[in-house]
Amino acid sequence: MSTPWLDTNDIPPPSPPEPPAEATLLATPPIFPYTIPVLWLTIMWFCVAAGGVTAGMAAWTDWQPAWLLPLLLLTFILGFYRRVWLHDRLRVQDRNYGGAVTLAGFVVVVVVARLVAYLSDTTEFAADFADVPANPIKLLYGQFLLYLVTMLIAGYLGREGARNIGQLYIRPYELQANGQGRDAMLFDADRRDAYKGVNSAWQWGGGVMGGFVIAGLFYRNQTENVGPLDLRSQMLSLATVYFVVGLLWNAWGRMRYLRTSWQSRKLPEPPQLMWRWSRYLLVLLLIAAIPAVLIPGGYSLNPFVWLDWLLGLFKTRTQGRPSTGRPPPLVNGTEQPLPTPAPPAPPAPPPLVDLSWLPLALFWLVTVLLLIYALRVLAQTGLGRFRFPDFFLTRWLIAGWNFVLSFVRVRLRFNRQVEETGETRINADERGGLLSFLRPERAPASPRARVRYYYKKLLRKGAKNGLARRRGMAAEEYASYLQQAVANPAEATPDLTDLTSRFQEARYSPHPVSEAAAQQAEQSWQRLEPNIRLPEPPELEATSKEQKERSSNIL
Amino acid sequence: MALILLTGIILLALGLMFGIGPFLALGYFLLAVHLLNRLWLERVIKRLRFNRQHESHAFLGDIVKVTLTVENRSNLPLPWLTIEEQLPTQIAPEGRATWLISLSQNEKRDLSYLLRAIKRGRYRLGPLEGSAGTIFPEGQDIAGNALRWSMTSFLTVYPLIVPLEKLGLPSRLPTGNLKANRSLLPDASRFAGVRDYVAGDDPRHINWNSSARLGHLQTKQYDRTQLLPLAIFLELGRSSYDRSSSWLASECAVSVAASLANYGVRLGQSVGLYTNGHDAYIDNPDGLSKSELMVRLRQQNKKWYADKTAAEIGWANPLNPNEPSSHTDIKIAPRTGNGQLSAILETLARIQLWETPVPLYNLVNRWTGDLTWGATVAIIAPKPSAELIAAMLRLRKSGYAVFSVFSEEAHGPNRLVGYSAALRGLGFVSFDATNPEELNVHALA
Repeated sequence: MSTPWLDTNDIPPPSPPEPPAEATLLATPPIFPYTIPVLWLTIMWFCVAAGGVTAGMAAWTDWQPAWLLPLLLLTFILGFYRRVWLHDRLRVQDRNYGGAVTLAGFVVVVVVARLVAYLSDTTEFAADFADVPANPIKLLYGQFLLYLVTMLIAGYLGREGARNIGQLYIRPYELQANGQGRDAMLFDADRRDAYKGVNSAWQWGGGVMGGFVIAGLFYRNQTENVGPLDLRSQMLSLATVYFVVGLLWNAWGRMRYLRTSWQSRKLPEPPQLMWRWSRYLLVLLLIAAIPAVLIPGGYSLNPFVWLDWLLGLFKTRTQGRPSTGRPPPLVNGTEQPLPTPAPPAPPAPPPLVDLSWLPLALFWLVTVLLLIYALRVLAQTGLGRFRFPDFFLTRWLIAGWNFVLSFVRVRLRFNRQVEETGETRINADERGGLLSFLRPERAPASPRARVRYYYKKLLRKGAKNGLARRRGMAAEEYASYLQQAVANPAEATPDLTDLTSRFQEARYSPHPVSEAAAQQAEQSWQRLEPNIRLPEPPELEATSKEQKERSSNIL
Repeated sequence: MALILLTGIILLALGLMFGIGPFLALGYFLLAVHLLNRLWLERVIKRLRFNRQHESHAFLGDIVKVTLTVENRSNLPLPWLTIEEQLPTQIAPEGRATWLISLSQNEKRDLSYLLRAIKRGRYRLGPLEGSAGTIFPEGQDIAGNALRWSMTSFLTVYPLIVPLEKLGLPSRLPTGNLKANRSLLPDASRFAGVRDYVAGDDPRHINWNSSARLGHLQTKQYDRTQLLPLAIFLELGRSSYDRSSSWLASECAVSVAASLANYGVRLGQSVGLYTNGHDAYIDNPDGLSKSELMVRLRQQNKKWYADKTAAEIGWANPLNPNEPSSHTDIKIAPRTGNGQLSAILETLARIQLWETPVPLYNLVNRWTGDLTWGATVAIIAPKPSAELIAAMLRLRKSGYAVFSVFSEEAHGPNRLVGYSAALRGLGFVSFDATNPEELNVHALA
């Protein structure tokens, strides 16, 4: 079937498809030339060997009664461990129970794998295969990779959890009167180990997951057509869920350890502690999620993009296809009107201040500061048994960070301390700093310091209203000066005398200052505060020119 | 939390390197969790304030209520905080001085406990130790960072004061004001008669009743007396006591001294205390433990003390109370009034036995140089010795009224022979204060 308006001779010969830009990049030698292929080949072999297993598991997705068996097993195992926790917890560590622990781990694997299989959308894989020649090996590999990682992590977590969670609970006889002493210390050490075990399982899972994700990314970048092997979305979703759930797991394990420790020390737990703790945890995670949600994901330091840009410097590229100069083709034998180009939009006036760079700059500033902070904390605290204090780079990092911090603190006066000891001489100009309005000042806790605090407010108010205390002036001298200078001496004098005498007692007496004295000082200051002002100036006579004219007109 | 931090760094770096938005977001999330948790904990701990209120002095057997005020002055809550009051073993709290609390923002909480003063001494209450935490562990210790708030206060427990009869002493000791040959001051308690008023007489001494009867002003006449002080000499050299009964006998001696001082001050007499015991307050006013003292010394004198021994330094080593100190004796010159009684009782509360190189009889002559003639000297020692009797003889010859109280005599083998008999033979008044059951020392300890 031929069309009258189409001249087949005009059709240019098909040019070879341009390779995608990514292919140019991927033509570069692989970063790990031998390790990755060997690893993948090994996994592929396992995929083929385990194909039947995965196919069978996939079939379970549609057969819901298959849930019954793992649920029954899980019930049995939970009942078994409940008995072990309550009566014979120490023997969990014995080898006699190793088989049971393994069985429990396996059950958890099965249940979690079923959950993942049920929750993950397997049709996504089919969609991935729609435009790709069927490759059953790859299909099996893709599915198995997801299952493998999930099963490995879930299995290890389940096994370690079953082994260690029981240790986080208190033993019944620890609560007895004779359950203290050296045994309590040993049990505490057991609980610490159990918490570390719970945490290390999570770390191990995170390491495996991170390793797979990173390996997958490198593999993707070394493969011309990703197709069904692009498991990034699944892996990233799993990683996100894993880390968020892992945080909750970590927090729970620690709280369990603390509660058991308090129980063994027979410290009564305050009411609603767990409710408070859960609320704080939720709020913390929500606040921490704000930057994660708000930041755009477009900022990239992708080395491949950099390489592309670098290689592009030596290429001559044409933007779009060259025009042939022919009229547009006919549709149904009629000439199509030339499309009228839309009038170009008037150029927007340039903004007065171009702030388009600001978000980017803020993003990089925050990111770099966050990274430096994190590295500094890591350098100071170390990681597990590893410490980096002697490494010259971390030393410089710590020193540099402390310098920046002290500089900011000094400049902005962030290091203002509430005076609690009452040893130093009071100055009226202690407050200040660029951000002082953000820091509401509070009265100190101890009565002695609080009396001095209200006297300091008197000094500040006096200095502000032109009644400053001169250098070397004693408290009594300042009080007599104020009595003569303030606008309403009759009202100010009793409170001024009271506050001054209380200040002298707080400043110089060796005996403790009572709470009532501090409250009296506060009341005296509240009554005194509006009276610390100069008297109003007398009415001046009309001397200006206008006033003279006005008075002459009246006359 | 180090793992969260490391994971956050890696995810953030990967996200930045490859432009993976989820990694970037996850890295931000983990770092933000760490940063918020850390800042939260630091800020709340920095703004925790404590205050301790209690009576600074107590008598033996009193129960002292100590109130700890904890205030979270931050706008952030503190999920949990454990506080433990560090108390000396000599005074036991009723119940436990350990708490687990949870503080909201700007919340103030009062915690109290009772202390039973069961032994004399000056005790340091505090510092406070504990731990605090937020949600995630910050640092290496999952039980929360060990915190220490250096807030200390002191409680002085006075020695036991009992009536003289309980000590086996007569209710009226040969002490007090003597009628003096040389007139010094009229004693208002010694009424002698009345005479006609003469211009210049103190109007407060006018006897109005007699003046009304006789029709003209009469003035009271008083005897003139001289204030003769009571000087208490207390032997606290360890070598003077028997090893087996040194603690009990020294406590008895201290109680006798305190009771005598109380007796003298109540009579309006000036009382002084002289002892060769060890007052730890002089060397260690902050009541620090040995380890804390060592740390402080190292901090203060790091270079100077580096290559010197205690002998080269020439000072007392406060870490070793057995070494000779510059404070070989403690003197409180005779004064009157309750302030003097407080000073004496406070010193007696702190004083301890120690290996003094100078026994009491060697210090008597030095100390009595400042005493006025005719003063009463009470020597309190564990048992008489030849040197002590010789010193007492010298004092009597010098014009002092001397009597002695022995706190260990009943426990020793020579209670009725030897030096005790010699002392009686020489005409000295001596008493035995060796009845600890009466003093109830055992029950209190």
